[in-house]
Amino acid sequence: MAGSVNTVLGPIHPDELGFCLPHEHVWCDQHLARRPELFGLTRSTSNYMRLDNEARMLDELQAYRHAGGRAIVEVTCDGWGRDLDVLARLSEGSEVHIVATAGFYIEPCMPAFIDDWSVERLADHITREIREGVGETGRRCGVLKSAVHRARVEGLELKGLRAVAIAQRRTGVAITTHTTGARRQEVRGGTVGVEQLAILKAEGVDPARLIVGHVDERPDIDVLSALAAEGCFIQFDVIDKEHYLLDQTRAELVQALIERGFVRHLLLSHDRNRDHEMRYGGGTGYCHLFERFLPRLRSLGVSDQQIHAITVENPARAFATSLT
Amino acid sequence: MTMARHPLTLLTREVAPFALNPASVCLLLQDLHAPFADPDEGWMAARARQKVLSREFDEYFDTLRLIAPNIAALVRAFRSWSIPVMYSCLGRETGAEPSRFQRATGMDWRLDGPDGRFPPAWQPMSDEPVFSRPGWGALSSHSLLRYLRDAEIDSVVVIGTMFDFGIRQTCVELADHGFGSLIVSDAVCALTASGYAHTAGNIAHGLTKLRSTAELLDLMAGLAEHGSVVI
Repeated sequence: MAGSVNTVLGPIHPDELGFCLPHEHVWCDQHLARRPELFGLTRSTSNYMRLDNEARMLDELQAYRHAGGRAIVEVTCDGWGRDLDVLARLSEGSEVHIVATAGFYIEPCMPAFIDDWSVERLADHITREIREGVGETGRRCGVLKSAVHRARVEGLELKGLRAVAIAQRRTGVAITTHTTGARRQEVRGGTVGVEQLAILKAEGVDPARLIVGHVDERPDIDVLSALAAEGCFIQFDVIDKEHYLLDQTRAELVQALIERGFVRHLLLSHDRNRDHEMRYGGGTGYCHLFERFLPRLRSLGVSDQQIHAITVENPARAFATSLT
Repeated sequence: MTMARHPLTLLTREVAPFALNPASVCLLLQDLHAPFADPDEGWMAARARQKVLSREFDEYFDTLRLIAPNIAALVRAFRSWSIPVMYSCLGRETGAEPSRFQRATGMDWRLDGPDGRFPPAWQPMSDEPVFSRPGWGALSSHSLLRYLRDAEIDSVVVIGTMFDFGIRQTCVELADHGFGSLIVSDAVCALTASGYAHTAGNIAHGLTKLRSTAELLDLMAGLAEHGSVVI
């Protein structure tokens, strides 16, 4: 495979990425959100996303590495605690490749400059984070992110998406998306991925560079099939969060999508972001796929070769760019 | 079973006595027709299967299997006392326009076709009325309301599905119209266990009685001696 993957310790060949969780948090703090009032009553401060203990996170990453994991895409954006120096220390200590993220999370967590800067200036800023590095760290991001907290793409989140589209065309890196608004039950099929795709296509983005995330909160298999048929990656990335959907349902949907011919479009992750989900908090941390979910897939007849495609080959293809 | 807090019931009045009098009580079977009650070919099961979401509905169908003998036993008991048994089914007759509810939800079934079938265990007798209705609550059928009034029924025993949607709404509507209601707690089926716990607690805020099948059958045994029983 040609190209490279930007990690916080520098570019690597895509084949070096190995088993990869494409949508996780390692270091984040939603208490830093600039406009928390936009959350409304959807969450309390005691339930904010936060992972901020470096020693514990090192243990978590080492456990993941020991289980067979090799890479994590850390999807915390600027605005709620992204810190590439911390990620670099954790990567060195755990020997897990970490890919950092440029772009924009949901409006409550966006950095202040998004209000005033033009789309072009925002695009320049995040392009620099991909090509040259974040701030003075010299550490580069390897993926772009766009998110919605409403039931559709609008306002500052639309502005951010347009900036991300420009940066994507310039750099070639993938766009990973957060597709479920705070009023989740209202969103048909649990995804605004179709709307994001339409906007990105209009901006000239190749659908094959789009990773539609959170599709397993409220999935509609027909919507997912249509997105995959367009060439997108569809990412089951809240695995183990059974208040959205049972893992057994997720496994059956993955199996059905494989049967429909979309094995090369699937990605799997957990979106860990709170203490209670981690091993030190009583959860399964980054090891849930290994310990619980992949055995479930195998029991449904999904082969090791297909699992390898989903967890190793697809991430390598998704996060590879021609940047050096 | 999931436990839930129900603070409103700490403040509201006790549910008024419910008179189990064969002359003025009836048994209402709600949404026990094919779309809700056929675990293989019914609308809910088939659509979940089509969307690869069957596991999400396992709790519902497992509970339905569990309560099916209770439903059948209650129907037999009420018939044996010649107490009216009636059915309320979400859906419409041929020629009727779909309601706004049916259009909005997509739950738009024609009851003169396969969607109007019942499992044999609680198949209506020829003299038992089946009321189609346009929305969640049974009294969204004006025919059913008129039937209750004409038959001088003042108390309704409710069983069926879905406890956390249609049956909940029915009990509120019955109270609004001055009828007493009693839900047989192990002859109703919620979509999820947590939905059951939430509804079972909150529906008791002065509006409806909750009794088990065994309790109700025991009480009905007293009809022979007393003619009517106050619950």
